[in-house]
Amino acid sequence: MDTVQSLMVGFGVALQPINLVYCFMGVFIGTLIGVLPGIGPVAAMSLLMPLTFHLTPEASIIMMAGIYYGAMYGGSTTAVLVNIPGEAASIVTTLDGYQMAKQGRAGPALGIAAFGSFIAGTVAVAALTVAAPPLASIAVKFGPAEYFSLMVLGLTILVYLTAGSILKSLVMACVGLVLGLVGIDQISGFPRMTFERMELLDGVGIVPMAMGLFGIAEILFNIEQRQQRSLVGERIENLLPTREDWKQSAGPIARGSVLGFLLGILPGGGSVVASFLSYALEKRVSRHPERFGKGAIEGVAGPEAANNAAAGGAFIPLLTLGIPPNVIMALLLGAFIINNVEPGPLLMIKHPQIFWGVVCSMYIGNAMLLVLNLPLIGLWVRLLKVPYNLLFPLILLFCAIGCYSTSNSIFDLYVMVLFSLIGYLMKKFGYEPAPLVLAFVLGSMLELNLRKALILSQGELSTFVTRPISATCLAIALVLLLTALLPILRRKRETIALDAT
Amino acid sequence: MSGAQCWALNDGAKDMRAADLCIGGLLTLAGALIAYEGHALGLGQLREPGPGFILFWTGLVLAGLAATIMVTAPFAKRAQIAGVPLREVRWAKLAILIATLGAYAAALDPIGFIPATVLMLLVLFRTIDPLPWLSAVIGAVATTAVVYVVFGLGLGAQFPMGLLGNG
Repeated sequence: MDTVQSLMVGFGVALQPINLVYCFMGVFIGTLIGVLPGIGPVAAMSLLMPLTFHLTPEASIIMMAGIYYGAMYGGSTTAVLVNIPGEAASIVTTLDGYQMAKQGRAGPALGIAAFGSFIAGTVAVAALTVAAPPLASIAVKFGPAEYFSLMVLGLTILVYLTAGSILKSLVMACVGLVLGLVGIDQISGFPRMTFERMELLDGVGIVPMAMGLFGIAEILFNIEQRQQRSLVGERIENLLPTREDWKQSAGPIARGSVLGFLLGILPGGGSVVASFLSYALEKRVSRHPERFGKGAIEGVAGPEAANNAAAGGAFIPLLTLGIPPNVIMALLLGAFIINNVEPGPLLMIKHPQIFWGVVCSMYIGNAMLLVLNLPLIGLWVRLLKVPYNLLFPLILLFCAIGCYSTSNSIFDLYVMVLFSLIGYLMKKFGYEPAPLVLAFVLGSMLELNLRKALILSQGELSTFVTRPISATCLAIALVLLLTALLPILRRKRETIALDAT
Repeated sequence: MSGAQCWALNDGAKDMRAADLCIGGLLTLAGALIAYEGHALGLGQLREPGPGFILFWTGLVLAGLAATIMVTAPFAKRAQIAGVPLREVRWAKLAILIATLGAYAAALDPIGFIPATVLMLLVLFRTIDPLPWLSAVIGAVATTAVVYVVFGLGLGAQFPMGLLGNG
């Protein structure tokens, strides 16, 4: 079946009324949970997973996918208007988006975020349509050594880009790595650091940890002193970016789309890293890097494009290899399994209506999001204009419900509370949570690939430097670390680091 | 650094130094314990690394990095804590919020989702820039009802019913 035929099959499935309804539900719910700080796509997808029992496989996967890329859209609204990322991939958008809003330019910031997201999302789906088979064949050639080195590079880049002390970022990465190793060892079956708690055998939950570190810690930080609301109060107008805005944003959107898509394919890359890297890239190529952090529209356009393109790219390893590159895709894998469908190389052959139906629904979903989001921004703003003394308890409640409903575990609520406190102290004392969370997500994969590589090479450490892709990744990581640690070069890092202040 | 220079630092910088000393110390200890645990689990050999291999090395690196933070803390000149100095933090409100969430987790199973959520919201509405009692009660009950209908009945989330019957 060629691409045109495949697309016809796909659109035939995606345009069925029932699938259109579930696509709409997915992107709407995704946007809503993206707008609400604290509850992210992981929690929402976990919450909605039981619903998929009653749906056709196509409808359930279409809806779950819609939640994911819908959340990428929605997260920017909260980042721009409240300075709190609606979900982790919008952390970077707060830097310039909120500054734009404070300068009375919330409209263009939200507008360019929506347009950039739409363009990048559509580009990513088009790339997914055309490039999935050849890209999958390249990714298949990655062995454990390449995966390990790639993840080390991903972590190093994040540490490099994090503002403040490099030492503290490295410490956080180590802590995240250790936390990621809690639970049953995948090779030997030994329980590690479980303190004889059954709940820890499967490891520490990403949902309670992320909600605590990002959602509730932010609220604690906000109420530590009596303060004015930081929600942008002015009327949001002029959502359509001006010609000058487009001129400044075209390059960042194009670069963000490509960068995001490529990083989305890689395990551990994902939307968060894509948005961080896009920001760093735009700051580096800009003729006026000093504008970044003070309301540069490029700082919104690039990362928003990148995180949406990454969301599209992340489907490639799942749909073509059956390997989820991140937690969200792991949940989507769960939805496939519930429906007795095995994603992987045979998915296109055995279930073309599902593969191409999901791909084509993403074109439709992206269009729905653009049409929905520009008129609905007023609604989201009204939602966010709820005063803090009402909004904060509601966010805390959503976090608690999201955390509990993911696993129906009270233990996870305690974990969330613990990480809330830890997250507050980390924020207070300059320990960035992003390296911790990425290292946590990558921890078990990183360890597994390191051990596999050593086993396969009979204990030869040189396997990491004799294989070209692995060696390149490690060399780049080393250069970045040296750049960050050497005093003369440190100043250069500080000019591109993600300064959250 | 002399005492005079130390006193010249503002509250934020002094707080940061103290915090780095404490956190660096704690993480050094944690790193050492993790390395010990890794060693106890078994390092294996390079050709077949054991379950403690990565834990051991990560623990050692963590201990080393954290010790560096601790040792260099007294010499840090520019580092400032985020937000207000520690003595200006509204610790009571933070403590109540954390305790409320902890109590919610503890109460959810025995008394059920609806009563626990009403109580939690009531405390939160009265703690963070307090609402009047009547507004707080109405807000807590109405929010719980809406959330239960949407998440519990609409989306089928399994909430413990506790005092109100079998969930």
